[in-house]
Amino acid sequence: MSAARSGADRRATVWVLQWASFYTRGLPAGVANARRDELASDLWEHSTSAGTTPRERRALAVEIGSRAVLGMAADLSRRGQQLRQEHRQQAVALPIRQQTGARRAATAVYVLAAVMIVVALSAGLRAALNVSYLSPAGAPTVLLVGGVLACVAVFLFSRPGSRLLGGVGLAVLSFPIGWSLMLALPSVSAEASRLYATVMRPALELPPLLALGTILLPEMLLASCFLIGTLRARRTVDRKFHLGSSTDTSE
Amino acid sequence: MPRRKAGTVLPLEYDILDAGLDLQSRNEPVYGFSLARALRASDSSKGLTAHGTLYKALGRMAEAGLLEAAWEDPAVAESESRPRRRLYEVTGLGAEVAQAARATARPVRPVRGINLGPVLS
Repeated sequence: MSAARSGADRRATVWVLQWASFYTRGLPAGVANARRDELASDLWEHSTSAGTTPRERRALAVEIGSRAVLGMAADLSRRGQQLRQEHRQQAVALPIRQQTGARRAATAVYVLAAVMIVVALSAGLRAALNVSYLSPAGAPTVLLVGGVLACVAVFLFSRPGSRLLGGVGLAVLSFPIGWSLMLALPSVSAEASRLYATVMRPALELPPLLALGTILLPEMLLASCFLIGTLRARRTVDRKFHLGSSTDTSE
Repeated sequence: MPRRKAGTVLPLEYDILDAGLDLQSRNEPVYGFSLARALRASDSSKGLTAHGTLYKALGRMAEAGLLEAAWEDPAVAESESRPRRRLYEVTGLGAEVAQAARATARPVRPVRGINLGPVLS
């Protein structure tokens, strides 16, 4: 770079290159390197074309900074386009078996989540309208709030960027929803409550910790299904991303 | 940022094509900064085009086949002690599009309906 560089234009150049590193992160290495090299060349040409007086160097720093700031929206928009394009290409390039496995795992999570949400909301509503003295007062509220939060978790799961968060959220929510459903069961259906008590009676004769573990077994199974499904659906996304990062498109 | 419709060529892209053809006709190398300088020279009211705006337009134009991009030979850049440039060349299609724009009045707003293939969708 130019020997006549002042502190201001050097700082502006470094800042612009840092910004370029920031908005090209996660793009395929070839695309990111090409963008940074082209920008470095532009900055070098710009710097050598400017005069050497302190005033001219300051003007150069301002010009470099303003060119970067005015182009930020385009930089981010271009980044989005390239990421989308890359994901499309990688999705096409993935073996059909991997795509099918990921889709099945995601579908299983959606189905389980839908069942959990429907059960939580309908049981919560039923328990709120048909309060039994055998049920704690707060159980319907927990069911209704849990159902709504599970809807939010499904939304997060549907977005590739927040898939893990959504899956973990569903796994965590299966505990309060399952526990509250057990507590609210007398308000939902006397028959179901009796059946549940019959099934769970042997568990109550176990030592307390083991009894608690047995009672929570359905919730633990459900949470495991959510976590395994999320990891299977996400592992393929990660593999796609890894393939994308190693694509070299430099000329 | 609204997405452009298929086959739309923006005024900036016409300017880039004109500047590129002008540089080519003078046997001068066409690269990012030389285009930015030529665009400023063509309209004294403008400053140098913003980095993001310029390189996004160049990338899309190259994908659409209006420009051809190739990295300069590293030996040439090394001999001149500077970073290598990404050189552009206006293609036949690019020249046709610029010609068509010159034949009609220069559009002030984006022109739609020019068949540039699916890339600009």
